[in-house]
This record gives sequence, C-alpha cells and structure tokens, in this order.
Amino acid sequence: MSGADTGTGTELTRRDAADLAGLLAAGEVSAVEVTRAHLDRIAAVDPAVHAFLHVAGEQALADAAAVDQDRAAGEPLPALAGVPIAVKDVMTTRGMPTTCGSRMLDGWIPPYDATVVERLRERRLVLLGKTNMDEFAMGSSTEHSAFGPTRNPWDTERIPGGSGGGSAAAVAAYQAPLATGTDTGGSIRQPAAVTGTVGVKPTYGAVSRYGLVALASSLDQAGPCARTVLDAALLHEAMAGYDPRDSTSLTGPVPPVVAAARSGDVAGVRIGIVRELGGEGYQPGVRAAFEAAVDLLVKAGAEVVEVSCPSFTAALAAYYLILPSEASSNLAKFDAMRYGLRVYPEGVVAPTAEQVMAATRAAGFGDEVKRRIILGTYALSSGYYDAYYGSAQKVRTLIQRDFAAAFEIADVLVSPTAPTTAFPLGAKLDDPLAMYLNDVATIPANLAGVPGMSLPSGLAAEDGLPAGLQIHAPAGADDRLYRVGAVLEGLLRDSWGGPLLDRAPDLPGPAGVGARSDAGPVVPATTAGGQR
Amino acid sequence: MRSLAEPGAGAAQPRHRVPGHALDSAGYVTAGATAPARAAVRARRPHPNGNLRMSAISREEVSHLAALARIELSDTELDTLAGQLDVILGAVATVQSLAGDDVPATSHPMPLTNVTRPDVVRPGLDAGQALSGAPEAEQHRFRVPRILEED
Repeated sequence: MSGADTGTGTELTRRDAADLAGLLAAGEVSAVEVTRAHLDRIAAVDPAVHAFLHVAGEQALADAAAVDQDRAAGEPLPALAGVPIAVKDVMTTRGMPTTCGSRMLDGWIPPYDATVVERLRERRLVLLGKTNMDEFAMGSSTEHSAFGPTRNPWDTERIPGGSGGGSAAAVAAYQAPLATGTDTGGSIRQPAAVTGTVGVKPTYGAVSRYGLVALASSLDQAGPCARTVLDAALLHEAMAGYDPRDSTSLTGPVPPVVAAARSGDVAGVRIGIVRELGGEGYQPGVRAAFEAAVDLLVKAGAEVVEVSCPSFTAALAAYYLILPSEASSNLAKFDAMRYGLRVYPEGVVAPTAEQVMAATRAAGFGDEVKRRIILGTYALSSGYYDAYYGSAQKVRTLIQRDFAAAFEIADVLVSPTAPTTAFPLGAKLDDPLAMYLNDVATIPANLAGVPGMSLPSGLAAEDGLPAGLQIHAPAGADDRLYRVGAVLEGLLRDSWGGPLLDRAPDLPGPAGVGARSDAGPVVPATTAGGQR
Repeated sequence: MRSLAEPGAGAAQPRHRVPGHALDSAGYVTAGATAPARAAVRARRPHPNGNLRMSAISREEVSHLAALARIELSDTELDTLAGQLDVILGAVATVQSLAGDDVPATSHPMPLTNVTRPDVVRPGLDAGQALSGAPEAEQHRFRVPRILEED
C-alpha cells in the first residue's frame, strides 16, 4: 500500500474504508475524488454485476463536495466523513427511490429516512445509491428481485447470495467500500460468505428498525457489509445505538466493536465448534476451509471445545413458520391505498377496494412473496395455529436454551456460514425448499437474537469459490465477534499472502476504467424502473 | 367454502415427493438436504400424540388462503403453489414433534415490556409528504375505491 498512487481511481476503489478515512482526514485525497472513483467503477462494472437498483451520482458528488468544503474550513468531522457507502434498498431514503426489490414499490420515493440512513448522513458518509435484493428480502440469491438478479463478482453466472446480494456484490466488486444490509435469516452473512466479504448481524435490537421495510419483525436486524473486519466494526458503530422510534431498540451502550477489532488477541478465548452445523451435508471444500481456519485460531492460543446444540436441526423448520407468519402480517400494509402500486382489476366496473387490493397484490408481488404470504396465512389459521406457529415458537425457546448452554462452555461459537459456495443462477429457483436450505446455519442466530459474523475462510478446493466462516457470540457481546474475527482474518491473510478478494477474477468492463480521478462522465441518476 | 380447521384432509394421499430428492442436481447440496428430508419423512407419519397429522394442502385451501390474504391467483399459480406449499409444510411440520407442553413459547428474542416515551409534540409528516406516494389523492386526502358492495 505504501508508495501507491493514491490519486488514481482504481487505487482508491481498492482501499478499505479505514484507509480512505485516513487519507481523507490527512487531506491526501478529496471526498469528491473518492466518490467519483467509485461512481466510475460502478459505471464500468455494474452492467455485469447489477448490484445497484439506483445510483445517485449527482447527489453523491454534491454531498462529497460539502464534506470537502467543511474539511477545508477546518470543521471537525466524523471519522467516516466522505467515505462512500451503498444502501440496501430495504431502507427508506428521502429523495431516493426505495423499492425493496418489488414492483409494488417501483418508483416510490419515501418522505423520510430510516434511522440507519439518518445516522449515516449525520456521520457524513456519501450515499452512492441503493442495492439490489430479493423482493422484500425473501430469498438467498437475489433472483427474486423484480428487477433482475445480481451476479457474483467471482463468477457472473453464479448467485451472490441473498437477500442482500446487491450489497455484498457491490463491496466485493469494489463499487463501494461499505454497504448496509439486513439479516432476518442470513441475508447479510450468507451473501458475505459466497462473495468473499465480511458481514455482521448484530444482536437483535442493536440497530434501529425504524424505516426498514419489515419482513419478520422479531427476526429483522440491520448490520454492516464490508471487505475487512475493522471496516465492518467502523460501520457497525456508525449504525448502532438506541432509537426511541423503534420500541425494540436496545438502550445500553454499543459494545466496543472497533476496539475489539483492533485488539489482536485471542489467547485463552474458548471457541465452541457446533456439532450440528458443519458436518454431513456441507460441501467438502467449505468444511476444509473451516477446519483450516480453526487450526489457525488454535495456533494463536485459542482453546477449542465441541458443543452440541441439538435443537438447531429444527431451526429451519421453525423459521419457515415464524417468518411467513410475521411476513404475511407485515405485508398486509401493501393495500394499494396509501402508497405504492395500485392496479384496477380488468373488466370490472367500479371495483371495490377489496378487488383493487387483490388485483394489486397479484400484479405487485412476485412468486416467492406470494408463496410466503400464503404459507404464513395458513400457519396462523385457526385450527392450525397451535400445531404450526405455536410449536415453532416453542422450538425457538429450545434454540435459545441451546445457545445459552453452549455459551456456558464457550466464549464464541463457530461454524461454516453456508453449506455450499455460490451456486449457478437458476439452479434452485424452482425448488423453494432447496433455496431455504442455504440458511440452515445462519437461522439459529436470528431465532435467538444473538449476533453473528461471516468472514472469508478460503476458497473451496473443488470450485475455487469463496467460503465463509461464521462466529456467534452471546446477545450484547458483539465485540467478541470482532475480536476473534479480526485475529482470524489476519492469520488467514498471512497464509494467503493477501486478502482473499485479490484472487477474484477481473470483471468485464472498459480497460483502465476508474483510472481518471478528475474527469469522466458523472453517472446519471437512474432508477430501478428506468433501467429496464 | 371449506374450513381450514379440518385437519387430516387428504392425509392419505401419497403423491408428494420427499423434499430432499429434488436437490440432487446441485451436487453437494444433495447431502445438505438429507437431514431436513429425513425429518420430512418422519413428519409424514401420524404423530404419536395423536394431534395433527400432516395433510396435503389442497388447491381449494390455497384458493381460500389467497382470498384471505387478498391476492388474486391464476389457475396455474394455484396448481404450482398447492404442490410447493405441500412440500414446504411437510418439511416444517417437524416442529410439532420437538417441543413438549412444558416448553414455553418465545415470540421475541429479547424480553422487553412496557416500552414508553414522553408524550411530547414532535414534527411529523405534513399532508403533502404523507400523500406524496398515494396512488390517487383528492382534497388533501387519500382517494380510494368504494368500500361498500352495491345493493
């Protein structure tokens, strides 16, 4: 890194957020240069990746210019001021479309910011645009986006994970150093795993849900997407904190995640390997990368114990009752009356509100959303409620107890993040249950409310694609994820000779793109609807 | 219209595929499906406690649910969904056999009660902002289709 030409756009887009923050604070680069470099990168590679549904080029440059102006005037600025970020399209953004990957909200411009977005703006990060996602965050591949799938930067014929595939791909493709995500059953962690990036689901309630289009309110949690553990910690700290507008918001202080990421010590830390996550059914290369990573932690002084969480085997089943039940209720708000799409039924003179509602929801929702709403409606039906929803809630208790027992003997728990590496686009689209199985290792954390991180563990030998390692910590002890994650990241990078993403193939795009930092076209504002 | 509260309807129909079998084209994922698939097979058997047996979800039930959820479905969608939901329900029914009556239900990960805030006036959306996304508006109000049936 030393001696690098910091002035070129390509170099700037390769920099981590922590590096960029340092360069900006030292006045070595301007926020406009950094922003323009990323907008150029988006213009060059997003036709191949499709991580973005909306790019707010002009606004981003204006926001960056304002940061530069304030810095020149000697005003004190927050640590991440001028660092670009991409925002998952599940978060409301004033003046910027918010579609949640759905036709239902195509073209909707919210009149208010989500608390997370407000906090990012207050901290003077530069919002580049909105990232693609499975419709209403239902999916593990982004193939359920109404606006077309995002592609994995490692292999554009493969899925980037989901639902936050857009955010993970944007970070992996150097279109943004940071992105926001939401994780209801793995939507931050599984995309991180299959794109070779870092993603964290904080403790439930750590980040405000105000302004997030709700999927399953008792499971949803926003968190950071980044290329390094330290960057994730910096963004975690920027996003988290009490918000009176979210009644489930945690009131305590944010755990010291940045300090933990910098601590560099795992001596004596008890690492629990969860017997039920990672055995049979996990791709051999994913398991091998996981085991090699655990060996590194042992060499660094950590103790390893095996723990058993027998109820985890039922987590997927409980999740696919609880989630659709809550989603069917949350998505009732899309009623064609106050905002979003309205479709009148064909051939009906003076239709009733109910008929308009049914026609609108038929046209505005995709297959997966319809499937889950119907499933949830079924699980909540009288006569079935106790057998399905009620039983699932009991399983949730058992999963919480398993976590509690495991944390009696281990400080953190580890497992592979996802059973496989990225699969080809279309491979599981017609088989919902096969798609659901991607989240088998990430779902327990959502049901119990505990925090989880995925970081790259290596490339699977059989396909050369990235695999992820997941770390769990007790609720409120998010800093442990960062302590262990940062040490492991350093050890792995030493063993690889650099970041895993350095091994990703070049993406198609104009040669030398991004090499100009002070010229080139400004990416025009586009909207999801306008792109196709 | 048939009530959803009729457990066991169609339980004897053995036409359903076992979920895991669909996964074999994706290589290693096949193995990943084995545990839930086995669980699904178990769930097909009558429950030892004699409560709800797994039943097929019929096309008519899906149609009724869609009406409750206010989603118009085409005939093709009804056919596809009935099959898919049946497979999914077969897999998730395992929850019934795991937790006994002594296990309390958990609805929320964090125990929170009576969250309050001071009752003070704060700025909110004005009418123009609130109506900015409305499909139709009139006289500073949401304009909606009629809500009463003609008589």
